[in-house]
Amino acid sequence: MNKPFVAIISIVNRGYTDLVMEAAKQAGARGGTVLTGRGSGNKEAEAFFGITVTPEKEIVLILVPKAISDAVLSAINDGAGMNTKGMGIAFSLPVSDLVGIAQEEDEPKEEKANERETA
Amino acid sequence: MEKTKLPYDQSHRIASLVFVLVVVSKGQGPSIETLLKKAGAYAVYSLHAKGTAPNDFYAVLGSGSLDKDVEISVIREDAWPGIKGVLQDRFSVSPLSAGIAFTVKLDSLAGVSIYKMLSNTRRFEHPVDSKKKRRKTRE
Repeated sequence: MNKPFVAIISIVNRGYTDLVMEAAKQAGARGGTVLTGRGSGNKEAEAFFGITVTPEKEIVLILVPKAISDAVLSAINDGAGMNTKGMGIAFSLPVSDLVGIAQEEDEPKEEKANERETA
Repeated sequence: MEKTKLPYDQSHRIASLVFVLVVVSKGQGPSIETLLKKAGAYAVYSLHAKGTAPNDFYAVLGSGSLDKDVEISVIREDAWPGIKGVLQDRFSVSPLSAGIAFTVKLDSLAGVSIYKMLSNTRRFEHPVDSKKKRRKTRE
């Protein structure tokens, strides 16, 4: 693997994955995969603080280059974090190896043109 | 005399494990599952998911569906290069068979039995000090 990638996993309330993807794409991400899930919030905390945790969740999985992972995480936190309706959390995992992403496309076109000229 | 029992990591070769996640178009999941199991995965967890790319992007590629199959498993790290090669070939056949797969290294496990299960020791591993000769398979 030439360029290191990370897998950003974001868990948000159901129906708010658009917030995550809009924020992530603004920070440079391309696409993602949405899985459905069910949260298991702390019932005692809910009763004490008077908050309700929507049990139905969606998990958004986004693969991004490590270079922009901080920007993407920060954007997701701003756009779909705990202070928004999405009430999302996000974290990243280091990817050891990956298949299926054309890493050459990420290189600027000018650099490619220069390489061809020198070759 | 009582024999002192050696810890498992001293009496056996420990193979490092990786978590594998494969995202493919709907309908491709079962064949990925078969591939992972042939490569030594003890269990494969299948999920349904949806892609988030805009529809016009998929229309250009020739695939009209956003529905995805996700396959999750844990395999031995030394099995990954073989799987990677097969997946690379498969993903490059057509846009319909395209997908993404990645691995994450596992740091630790909750016990020897979990290790034995995930690394499929019944199929792959033999004790280092075993004097038993492996039976040669009759061809």
